Amino acid sequence: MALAFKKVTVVVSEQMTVEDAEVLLDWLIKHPRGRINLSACTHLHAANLQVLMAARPRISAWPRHAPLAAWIKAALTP
Amino acid sequence: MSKTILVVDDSATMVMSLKASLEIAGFTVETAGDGVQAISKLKSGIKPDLILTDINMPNMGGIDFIRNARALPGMRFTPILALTTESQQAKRDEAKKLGATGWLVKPVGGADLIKVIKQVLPGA
Amino acid sequence: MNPLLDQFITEGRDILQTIGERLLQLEDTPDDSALMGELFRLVHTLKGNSGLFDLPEMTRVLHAAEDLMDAVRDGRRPFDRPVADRLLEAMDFVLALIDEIGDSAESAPPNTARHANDALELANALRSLLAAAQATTPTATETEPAPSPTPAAIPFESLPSRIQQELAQRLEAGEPLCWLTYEPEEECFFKGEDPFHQVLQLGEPYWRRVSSREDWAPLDELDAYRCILRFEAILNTPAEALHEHFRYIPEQVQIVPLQPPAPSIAPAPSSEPPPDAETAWSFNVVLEAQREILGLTDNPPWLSGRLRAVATTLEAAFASIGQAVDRDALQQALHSADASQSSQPLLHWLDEQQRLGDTQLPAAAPPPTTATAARPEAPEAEEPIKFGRRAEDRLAGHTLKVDQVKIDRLMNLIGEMVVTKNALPYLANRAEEVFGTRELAREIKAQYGIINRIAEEMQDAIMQIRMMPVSFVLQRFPRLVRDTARRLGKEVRLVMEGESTEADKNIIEALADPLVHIVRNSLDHGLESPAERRASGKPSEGRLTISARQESDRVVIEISDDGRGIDPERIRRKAYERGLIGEPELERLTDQEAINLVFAAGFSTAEQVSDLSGRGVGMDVVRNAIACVNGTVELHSQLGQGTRLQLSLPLSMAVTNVMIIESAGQRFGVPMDTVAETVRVARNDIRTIKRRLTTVLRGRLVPLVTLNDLLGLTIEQAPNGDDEFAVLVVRIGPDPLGIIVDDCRETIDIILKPLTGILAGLGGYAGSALLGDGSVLLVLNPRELL
Repeated sequence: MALAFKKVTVVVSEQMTVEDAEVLLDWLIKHPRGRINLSACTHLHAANLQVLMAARPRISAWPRHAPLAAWIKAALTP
Repeated sequence: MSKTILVVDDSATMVMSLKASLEIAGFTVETAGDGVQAISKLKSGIKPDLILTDINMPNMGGIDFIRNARALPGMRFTPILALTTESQQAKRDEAKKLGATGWLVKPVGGADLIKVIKQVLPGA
Repeated sequence: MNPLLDQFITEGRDILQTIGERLLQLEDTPDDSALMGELFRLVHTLKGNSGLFDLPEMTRVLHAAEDLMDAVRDGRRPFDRPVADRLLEAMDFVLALIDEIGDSAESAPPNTARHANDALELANALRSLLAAAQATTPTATETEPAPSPTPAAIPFESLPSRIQQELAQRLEAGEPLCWLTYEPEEECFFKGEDPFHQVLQLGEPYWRRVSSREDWAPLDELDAYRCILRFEAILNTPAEALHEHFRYIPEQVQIVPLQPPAPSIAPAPSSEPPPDAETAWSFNVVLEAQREILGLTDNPPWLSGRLRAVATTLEAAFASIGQAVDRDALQQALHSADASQSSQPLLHWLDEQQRLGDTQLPAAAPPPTTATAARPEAPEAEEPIKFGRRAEDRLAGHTLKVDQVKIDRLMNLIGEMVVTKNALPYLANRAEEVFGTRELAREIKAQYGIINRIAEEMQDAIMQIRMMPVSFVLQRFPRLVRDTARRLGKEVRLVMEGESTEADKNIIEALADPLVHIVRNSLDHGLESPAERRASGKPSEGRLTISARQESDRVVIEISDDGRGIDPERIRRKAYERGLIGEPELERLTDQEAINLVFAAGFSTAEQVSDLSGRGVGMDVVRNAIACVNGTVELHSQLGQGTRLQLSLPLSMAVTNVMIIESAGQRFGVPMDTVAETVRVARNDIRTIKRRLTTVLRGRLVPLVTLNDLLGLTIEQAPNGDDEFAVLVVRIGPDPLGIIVDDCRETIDIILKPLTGILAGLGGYAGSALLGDGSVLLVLNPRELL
């Protein structure tokens, strides 16, 4: 499972698949102040990127994988 | 975890060749001899991470297979690569329009095959 | 041999076989598009497979064949005889190569380069047919890749100034920077695409931006699966590499090689043909870009350079659509823009030009801003199932292909089993007679009964595996008949029936050569030329029928034609001329008997030996070949009406039931299918009539011979204690004949092996077999003996 749901944080590990986007979106709707921990994320599907861009949740940890982090930062901090 | 690839081709030789290349690269390979077989495999619960399909096949060709596969619930987002020849531009365009992710031009060498799969399949 | 190559050869032979059949079928029904589609697919598959190996000669020919078939399928070239001829030729070539590869024991395909010239010639011959078609009909050309905008100065002024300066320096230094804009289509996720994954593979960009093409909907209305992302990046990657990376979705990206912000050399205006939609599209993109540049409100130190670049680009852009511009007006606008450090004069000029040009631009050109986003949705094309095959072809999926060698091994093993199990009764006898344990003997016999049953079932099952359809040998005839008939200038329709009738592999294989000979005979001598046929009131097209059917435990093959038939009178004369019959027979022979003379050794009916069926090989060879597998040949002919040959063969020959007989202190086997009955005849009942031994059986006179005589032994046959002789009544000709032996024993199943080595030339023997006690049994062939 790529997503682990804590009280106010989703911890993403490895890959977030296209199917995960809907799960993430649902969770973010229910947890408007929810945070995302991406440190162990190695890739996320563009659908997830869209959800993150639309929801702008707080990122509690950026991906350790630098190229991925750079792109996500560019998308979320214009 | 090893990714699963479904290879659909009516030529046993082609299937054997693709299967060998994919298995060397660490993929798990499922095979089907035509679109009908492939659809029933997908319906029976096999959920490949990527599908490689020939275009010209008896019973159900690749174009129809792509259309039918995309209609299956678990296959909405699965990358599908069409196996074509250089002269099949029209087929490629049609396959792309109906939901193929891309295509490969036969004959496909092992290295090219893996390269293209890595391009469309994250984490491969 | 490596398994892939093995598979390639097996599949290749199958495909070639089917291609041959379909080509011949297409000659009859050239408009059958399903057949055409299948044919194309087969050639295509084979070509694809050949590409897996280093077989340039084969691939070259198949490639040409595929292109030709493609043209035929699309109606660019009619399917006619030259097409069929060339394709058949090409497939023969490919088959020869496959055979050569199959014969080589190497794990890699052998080098076939010495066939390079043949391959070239064949490919050229195929392509010449194609060229002829293309000269008359326009061909569909491949769609050009989506146009990429003309290199232009892109508004990197919208970038942070630090980046701007860095980029300017890099560009001056000659780095091949590209500006990429990637707007994935909305439904791209449903095509298995992950645009983010594509972008991540590009490497570290100098600059990047991820935005949405429209405002984000509130979360509870957001459709996560409708992609409205826009990725932009400036990369140090050659444009070609980017085009290659996005090759599947060229219409969703804009790749613009960046130029340093300096004036470029304007291409000389030339009179171009009217712009097509693509040029118009690029034109609009370029114009829009210039408009954006002019719309910028910053005031960089290189503004003059930028303005000059815009002016040059605009001039070139208008030239590209064949629209001449007033250079002076443009220069003037540039001059005043430069003087006022403002873009306005150029913008005015551009507005003016576009107002004038609107009427001249193709209406089809989409507005540049929506060019990528609103691609017209092509209607969903219904692909007809062109490549559907008939239901029977689907069987292949459930059929296991097994190497013949493996079946042969199984056959040999069951043969040994049958022989070995026969040792058990000997053992039982020894247990009883030598060791005096009757109980053990009975148990051994009981076990023998069980093993015997299993062995028989197993044997039957293996025999079933060995069964092959007659079509295996018949499949070559459509082609053979077609080619031969054409060479002879005859018109022949071949009808084949009962091709699915099955018989043992050995029987089917033994049929192959005799059948070819018979069919050639029929084409050569039986069927008349079209003119001759019409003269005798027949349709000009002759009819040759090959039918197969099963009759109890035999397979019957009939080859009949509606040709001129055999003239018994001519046969009599020929036979007499050749000294095959004497004066008395000339008169006495019935027509049927005369016709049967064609089976006599050294008889050839053809006036002149033709290169097809002649060369001194007559029907006697056919009859002997068929007799070798215990088959018979019957010939019927009606002068002027046609000829019918009937071959009757056993379904199986692997296991032979023989009767063991004794003569001169030796045991021999006699195949049971020649034995009608065995009787005991008292010495007194044997008479000599016309110097021949005879006896009367059930009121019928039966001639007798002694086996010792037949074997050239001078030993008298031994009678039993009651002075009776054992007689084996055999039925070879129309009348029964008795063979006197010393004793008739049990019948037994054996695996008959042909005599080899120095014994091979020995006449009168069908072969040998190993018995359960380890001894060798010679099996007689009464047909040859008599």
